[in-house]
Amino acid sequence: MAENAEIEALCSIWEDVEVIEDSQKKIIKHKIRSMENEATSASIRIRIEIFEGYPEVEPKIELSMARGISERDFEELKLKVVECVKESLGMPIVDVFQTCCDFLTDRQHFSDLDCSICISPLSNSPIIVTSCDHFLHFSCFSKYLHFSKTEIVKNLQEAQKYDKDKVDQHFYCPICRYNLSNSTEFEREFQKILEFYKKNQKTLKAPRRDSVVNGEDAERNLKIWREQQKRLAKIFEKQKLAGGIIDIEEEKKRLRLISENFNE
Amino acid sequence: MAGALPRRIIKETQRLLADPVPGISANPDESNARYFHVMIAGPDESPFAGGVFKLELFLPEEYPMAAPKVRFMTKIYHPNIDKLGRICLDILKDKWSPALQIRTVLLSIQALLSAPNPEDPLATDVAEQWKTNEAEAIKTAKQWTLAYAQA
Repeated sequence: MAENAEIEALCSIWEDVEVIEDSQKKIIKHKIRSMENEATSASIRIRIEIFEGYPEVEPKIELSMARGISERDFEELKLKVVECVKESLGMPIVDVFQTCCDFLTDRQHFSDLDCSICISPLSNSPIIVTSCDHFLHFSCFSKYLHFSKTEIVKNLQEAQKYDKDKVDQHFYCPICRYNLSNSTEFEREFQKILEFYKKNQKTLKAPRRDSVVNGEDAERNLKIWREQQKRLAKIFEKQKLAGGIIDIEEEKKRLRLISENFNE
Repeated sequence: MAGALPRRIIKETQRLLADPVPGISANPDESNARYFHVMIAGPDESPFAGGVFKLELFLPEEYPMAAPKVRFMTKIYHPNIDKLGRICLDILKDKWSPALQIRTVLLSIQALLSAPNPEDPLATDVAEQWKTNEAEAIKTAKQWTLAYAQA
């Protein structure tokens, strides 16, 4: 039972490691975070299956939900983990955990990821990480939160008195729609959420990279645009001749006629 | 025109041109960079196959906080699209999020063509037809595609 001692060691180094046992195998699950373990740390989910005969029989390792590192880094980490298991001298699983943690710590502050709201590099301005592990600029997130609040107020005003309960008064993660509020007292929740993330901002360092569009690309795009314009205009004219284009004014008139007749 | 064009819109536009989605083209208007001429090809295996549908897409001042406004210009027989070309799609209304983009919106519309949903109709008469006599509805949709949506 080589794995028992190793799992014990693992659980003493890492907090809250989940271990599931059945007759054929043991499953270890954990969310590994970078060394700093702050609100803005990069993280990754790991799932390891250990079979009878371990460590001679290789464990099956799955990594998922990489947050705060780029797709390219994620691929690199996967390869590193495979190597790590092969080269480990005694405790492959403990080694894999450490490898992941070191890697996240090394890469997380050099992000080449984009903010999902403004699609500009995260390293442009301070970032936050939502409780569902999504990375966004603080300024973009704040703008989004303000907009959501305005929408709630507007919806409440528009809803009839008896319909007010139906108005959704929660704030959601813009990426996965995870509910970020704890109650429907949205004014208070708004302040709480904003304050929390304001306190937990962090600035990332950017790896050097080329600007998104250079002159050559711009010129090529312009050419594509002109060709598409021509093609679209031609199709539009053809469909119009065939009576295929919706005539909004006509349709509105028809709808009005129907409703007028209906009212009579 | 009001204000400078946000960087996000410029970036989205460039990516749409340089790296288009198969079966979809989105082209900004010459005089208004917030207005897009869109063309979606009817998906294979759908009653709209072989057709190309023209749409207009407009990015309001609050975009990306507020959803883009999209409408079919080509006539289409579909339970979730009404006679005015308006589309019943949750991400264009209460399920909009600023993490979505023009690209994702158009992909969703393309998916809606592949999978009409008569349970959540906008064109009630079309939906009724779709529910009571699906074969007939699909036939009509094909006829409309042939008559109105040719390239």
